[in-house]
Amino acid sequence: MKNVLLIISLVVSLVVIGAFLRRGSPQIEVTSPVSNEWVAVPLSIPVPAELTKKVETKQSDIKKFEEKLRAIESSFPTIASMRNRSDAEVHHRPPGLTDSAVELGQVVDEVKRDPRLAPAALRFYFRCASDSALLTSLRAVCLRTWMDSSRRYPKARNHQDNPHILPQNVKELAISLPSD
Amino acid sequence: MVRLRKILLVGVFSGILLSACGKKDSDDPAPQGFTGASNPNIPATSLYYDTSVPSDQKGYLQKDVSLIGSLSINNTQPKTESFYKGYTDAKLLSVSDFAPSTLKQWLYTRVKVVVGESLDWRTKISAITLTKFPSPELLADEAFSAVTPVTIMSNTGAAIYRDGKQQKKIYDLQLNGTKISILSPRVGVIQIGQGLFTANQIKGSPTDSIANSFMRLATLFHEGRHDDSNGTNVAFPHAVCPSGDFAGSYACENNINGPYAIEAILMRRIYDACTSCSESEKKALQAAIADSQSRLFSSASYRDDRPEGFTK
Repeated sequence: MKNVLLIISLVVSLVVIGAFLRRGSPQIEVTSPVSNEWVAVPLSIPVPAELTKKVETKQSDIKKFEEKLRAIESSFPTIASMRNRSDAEVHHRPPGLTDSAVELGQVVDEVKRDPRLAPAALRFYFRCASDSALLTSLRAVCLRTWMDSSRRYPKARNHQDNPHILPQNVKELAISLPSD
Repeated sequence: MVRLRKILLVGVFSGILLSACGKKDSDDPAPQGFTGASNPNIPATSLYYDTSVPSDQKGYLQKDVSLIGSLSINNTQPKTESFYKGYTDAKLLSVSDFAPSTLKQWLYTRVKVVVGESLDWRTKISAITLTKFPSPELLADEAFSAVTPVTIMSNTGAAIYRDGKQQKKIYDLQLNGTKISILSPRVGVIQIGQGLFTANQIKGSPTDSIANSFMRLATLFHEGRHDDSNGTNVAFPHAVCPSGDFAGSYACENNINGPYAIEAILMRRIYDACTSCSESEKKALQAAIADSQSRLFSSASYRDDRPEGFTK
């Protein structure tokens, strides 16, 4: 009798565990970017339709975020835009620099609210730090932000982004800036 | 008016006082006839605002300056050796520490009279030509040109002094019926413009936010530094950037203790005091520090910061 009860409890436990696994959230592993898209790799457990929809929504959120980052990048002040400016215009902070920094801060805030956006944000910071057309000071702030965010979200960092390849002046400036 | 006269009198005689108590601490002596002083003790305890300063601008600046007194400033020397050749921030600013009272005194020593953008000082000056004006040679700085339109802030006193030095003239500036003889850049006449509250402002942050106060204070310290140094380097002129972001403009710095350096140092010191700042405000402050620091030539050196002045 004891053996029968033991077998029944075992079967019930297995059924409960199986049901739990089916209902649990699938783990999404974010891998390196492929053709500028982030790939979601589902585990072997079958994913219910409603969860697939949820994952797709998240993917589209990330895509929207990346589009937004591209738009921000295109508004960054360039060295070329400083040409033909009067001495008075560039005596103090150059036009557009502070506004761009504000946008960087908004990106940092967004990632704090939704850390899934961190990989895209980190790549954005690094692209900005690497862009030789941009103002040196802005590149330094981007690199500082990349350094701080890499520490905060170590798994989100794209290991192809190597800060050692950046110019010395940008690196020195970034290092001298206060961290977040 | 009595108060204005008192303040201006202090400004006018500051150069003379400085000549008397100067202590040489540099290998680059001030030219004959021009002497300066280190850490002068000028009894300046407040700023005078000319009637040309709009009341809202005056209110913001008054709040900014009083904010210095309540700041908790980090006294740890940051790692900035690559920019400042091993000099400490305190040495670069010629201060003993970064106590709020010390910083306030630094500012009051250099900024004494604030005038508004609407004041056309060219209509307010008269000149005495001197036949023996000593050492009129100057390092050029077109950004210093007295005809530069004010957009954010400029050191009008230093600009007029430099012009006088080149023209071998002493200018008198009439402000509200009071005559100020521009005998030293330390006369401390600063002109502010609407740009200080627009172009210099952090987007989305209120004008009276701490972060925006920091932006204006940094600019005020920058302009205050234009009161200093002597000889060809009088008023710490900017240098033409040979290359880089501002190639061809007088927007670079050959002195590790000049206005851009002082601005960066101050901003970095007060950054940590912005505890209630948003991420955007912090990034804007970081950008301001990076911008000022990026103006320094790698070959920039420490220069004698004693102000020059003379008697009629």
